[in-house]
Amino acid sequence: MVMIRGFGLGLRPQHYTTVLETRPPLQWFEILSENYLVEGGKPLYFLDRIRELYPLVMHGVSLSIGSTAPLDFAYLTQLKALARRVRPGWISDHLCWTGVAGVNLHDLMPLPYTAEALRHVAARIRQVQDFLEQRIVIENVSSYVTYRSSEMTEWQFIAALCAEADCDLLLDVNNVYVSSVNHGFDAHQFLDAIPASRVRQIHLAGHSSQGGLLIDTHDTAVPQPVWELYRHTVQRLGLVPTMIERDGNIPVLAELVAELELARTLAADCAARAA
Amino acid sequence: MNLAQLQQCFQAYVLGGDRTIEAQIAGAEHFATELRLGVYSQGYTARLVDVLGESFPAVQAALGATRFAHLVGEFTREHPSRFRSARAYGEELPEWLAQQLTAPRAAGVAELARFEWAMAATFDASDLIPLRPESLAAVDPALWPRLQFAFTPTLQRLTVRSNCVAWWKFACAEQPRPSRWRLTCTQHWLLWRQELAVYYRRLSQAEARSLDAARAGCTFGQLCEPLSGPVAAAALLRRWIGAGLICGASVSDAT
Repeated sequence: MVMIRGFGLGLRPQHYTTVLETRPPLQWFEILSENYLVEGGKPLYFLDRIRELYPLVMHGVSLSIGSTAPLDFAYLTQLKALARRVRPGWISDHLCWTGVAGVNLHDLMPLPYTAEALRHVAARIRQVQDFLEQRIVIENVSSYVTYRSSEMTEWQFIAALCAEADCDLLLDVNNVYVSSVNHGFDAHQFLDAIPASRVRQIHLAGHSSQGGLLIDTHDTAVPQPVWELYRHTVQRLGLVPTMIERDGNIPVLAELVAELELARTLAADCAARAA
Repeated sequence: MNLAQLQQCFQAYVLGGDRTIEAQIAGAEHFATELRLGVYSQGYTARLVDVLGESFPAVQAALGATRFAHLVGEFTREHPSRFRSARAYGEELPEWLAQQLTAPRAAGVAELARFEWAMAATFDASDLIPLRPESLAAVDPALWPRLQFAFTPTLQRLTVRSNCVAWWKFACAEQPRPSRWRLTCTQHWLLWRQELAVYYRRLSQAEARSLDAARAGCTFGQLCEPLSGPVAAAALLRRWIGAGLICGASVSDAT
């Protein structure tokens, strides 16, 4: 399995050619797994060339690990085949459900933080890990609702899930911030409570506002409150592979590389102060 | 309410506005429940409308952005997504559009949608290595009548009765706005991909018939019959091989 260190970006089709032509100074790329679960054509052509130059991690949106619908083993089979081709540092997806009864809502639907949901999700993660023959990495999502039935906080749920499922974490700092504003909790409390040894990767991104409710749109630069939480995260966790996600208003690659440099500088500053 | 019931209720809200889930939602003191849930229900429709706009840009241009958004919004309400990839959503849109619009635009817009869907299908179809012209030179001439051909999985064939391809070119800014949807005669089109480039060209009726027959498994000998003999069939074959349409040849067991 390939070693992932330092700073990366989410690979987007708009940047395929620039990546090959300019070989930007970053350590790795994260690919959206679903973009490459195809038979042929442009996505696989560029994937094969870019993976010769950079280590990759795989990030999915279709696992629906929290759904009460059966696991989709056809999807998992495709994912496993893609992993054989890519040899990623790890495979990640979200702590959410995406639909039931054969429907796909194409969204990261939040779970209630209950003992029932914890047992259900942990069992499914173990099944997926057995099938993929590797530990998977689960990401906290932005949410716009919480449920009256929840019996614990999101961070308590995540910590318990890591222990029970023996999975790792993708800590999305923007998602922590978005959810903290939407639900009125202290983002630092969340960051301080997650099991540090489980965090394999960090996501940074921007968001937008809809009537004061923050929406995880990934269509702006990383905003100041997220940078501040990232600083807090690095102070607690040390250097964890970090990347910026951008899915809307996608700028030229050089702009994202420059933004990533801010993360690198901030992390180096934290390391220097800690020394 | 257990986890399964909660998910069914939430999904019913997103798809059809069933409000049962509202009683399960906390945090109304910070933001109204309707605002919170609306992010999911409005987001679902907006996402699918966006995806359909990306899949059918020429249809969107032909109908106008407002009319398109209204129509495909209706489509998403009638057709919950059952696709893992949002990109696959829209397969049923061409036929649905044909039922929603009035003639003569209905058939034309539906065919334009079929053309765009076929174009998208060529993008990520399997890459098979095309047959090289010289590989057939070694075939024993006595076996030629029994040769069958395998075609690239990127190949798409369309027969249209409207001016939809001209509308597609208009949307791509390749030619002026067509004045009409109706055609005086049927058109046959071929779409395929060679490496990363997607191609399309109009076929004569004779070539369309031969290509369809060859794809259905007809042998070279059978292809010669409706044409003016082996020379015409060989010319077609050369053209198909030159365009990278053929990926394999085998000798049929049938005599």
